[in-house]
Amino acid sequence: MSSPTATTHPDILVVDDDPMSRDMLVYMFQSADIRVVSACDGFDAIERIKERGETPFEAIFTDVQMPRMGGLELLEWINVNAPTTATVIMTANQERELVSASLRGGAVEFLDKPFDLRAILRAIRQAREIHRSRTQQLAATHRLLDIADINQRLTRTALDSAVCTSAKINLATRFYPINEAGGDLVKTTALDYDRILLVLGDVSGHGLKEGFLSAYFQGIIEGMANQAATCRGIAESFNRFLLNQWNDSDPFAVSTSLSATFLEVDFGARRVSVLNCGGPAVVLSDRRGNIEQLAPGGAPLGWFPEIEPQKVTATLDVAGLIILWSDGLEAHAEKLKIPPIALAYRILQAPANTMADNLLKGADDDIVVCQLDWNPPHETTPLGEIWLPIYNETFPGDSAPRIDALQESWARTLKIALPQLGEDTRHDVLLCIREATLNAFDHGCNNEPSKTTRVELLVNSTAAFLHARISDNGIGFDPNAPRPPVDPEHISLGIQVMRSLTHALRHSEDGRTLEMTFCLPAAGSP
Amino acid sequence: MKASYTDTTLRVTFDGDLLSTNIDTLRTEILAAMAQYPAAQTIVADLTHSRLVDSKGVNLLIALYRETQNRKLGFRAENPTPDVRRLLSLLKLTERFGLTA
Repeated sequence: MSSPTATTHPDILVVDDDPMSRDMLVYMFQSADIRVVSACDGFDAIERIKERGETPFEAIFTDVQMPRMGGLELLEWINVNAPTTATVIMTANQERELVSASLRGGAVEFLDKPFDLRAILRAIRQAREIHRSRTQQLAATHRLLDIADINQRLTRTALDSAVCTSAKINLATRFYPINEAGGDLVKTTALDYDRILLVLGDVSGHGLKEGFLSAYFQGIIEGMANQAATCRGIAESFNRFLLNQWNDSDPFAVSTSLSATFLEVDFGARRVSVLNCGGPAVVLSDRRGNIEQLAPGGAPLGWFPEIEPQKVTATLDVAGLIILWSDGLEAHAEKLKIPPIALAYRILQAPANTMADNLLKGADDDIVVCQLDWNPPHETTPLGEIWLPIYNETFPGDSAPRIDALQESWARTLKIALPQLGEDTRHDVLLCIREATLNAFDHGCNNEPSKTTRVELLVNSTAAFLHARISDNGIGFDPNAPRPPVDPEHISLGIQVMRSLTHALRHSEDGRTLEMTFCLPAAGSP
Repeated sequence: MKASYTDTTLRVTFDGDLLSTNIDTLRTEILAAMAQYPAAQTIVADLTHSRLVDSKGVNLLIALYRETQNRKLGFRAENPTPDVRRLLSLLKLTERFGLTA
């Protein structure tokens, strides 16, 4: 066995239970001046890795089917215990399921048996590059960050997040692909102490090819971010690649495109910059659940030589959250007739990969949703008092005749976003929202179409309370303004209904905003 | 809404919710039924199918109650869903509407 000192020669572990195949690969590596250690299965490989201590292998070439521990289980172990090591999956069969599983598990390359030396060398080059990049990233992360915080709610599909010194941040990501393989990606990279880069992308198509392309883009993002490239620079690089290389073979073929949203979040300066190339709008929320929709996207990358959208910048609250999702989520929410943000909330509340109910059945596209939230660094509660939006719609002031349809949309939203809500609570919430909204239409907006009423539904971070905020841009309760003729008994009865059914009720903004709070049953309760 | 008359009791059964969007129609239909059966001594509002009653719906019931008081007739509401009964209870209307536990 070679000594594990730094070297310009690659340093590889080969794992295969077939002695002939293993020896042949070892021979091929050695003949190419590559330092190599071998193992007969996953358990044996783990022993070899542990023996290396602080100097991990640059790459591991592993078979899939092996006794005791197979290649995919080994890959999972490596992702957790040796995250800088790149893994190359060797497979004699092209079983799509296995390959796609390993792709999502973090493999960087695949090799078909029997082996081709040129393919091996190409795989080694790529694996070494990945190893180098991951090592740099890990070193930077260890210097700057406390990984435990960021990984608190992190899924294994987005392991490259960072923690900064100006805020406590959490990242939650959920993938629900319609096929085994897909082109969706969420990539996070620490840029420095206070800045992270977050990219949510969707390669058109749902096959293995798109899966490989997605993995390629993720590598490029990390590499270019490490080289201090800008979001636009990365986007232009992808655009050139798709236009000049990937789609170059047949000028009339349907081209592969990438919808990608790039977020550069600076917690020190409390600023987020968004470059949206074809993705849905990004939702930015402050800690009270006031949301702002940022940068609806221009054309996806790979369509035109120029990148249309300009970068949009917004200010961050001291605590808050950013939610972004793929087109697939937006389309499915439309099918369910609820706002995308309600579906995003429901998916994010469920533990990763546990949405086994009928809710996502029938989705026509991959669904990816990602939430980044932050608190001041001294905050002891994970999410403090952040309110999470599940509904935020604005209606013309003359919408009172549509109130039954609006109520149906609130009912659908509540049923999907808060399945733990019992019939009684849902009844009370719906009745109160209806009363408050009608009041806003009738008295706040005076039923004028030029005025508007906004209905916002928010859930606190522990899902213990639902907050309904109904606001209008009417004149409010200005004592100097003439009061419209109203039926005083009706008003008092509406307010009485709301007071009776809410946990708390208060007016603000000179009467233009009514806020109601309801207690929610614990999630999972009948 | 359906109206039926038996033994001096006029029963009005609502087909669905009592809401701001349908109370005008219901009010007209109730008054028409009361005109059709002038000998009625008691009016019963059957809420079996009314899952949601908003403030204007409650106002309709209050108006109906007042009208019966003016005409010196009896009035009671029957068969409210648990949610509607709770609402009427919170508004202290159950006793007035003849809804006993």
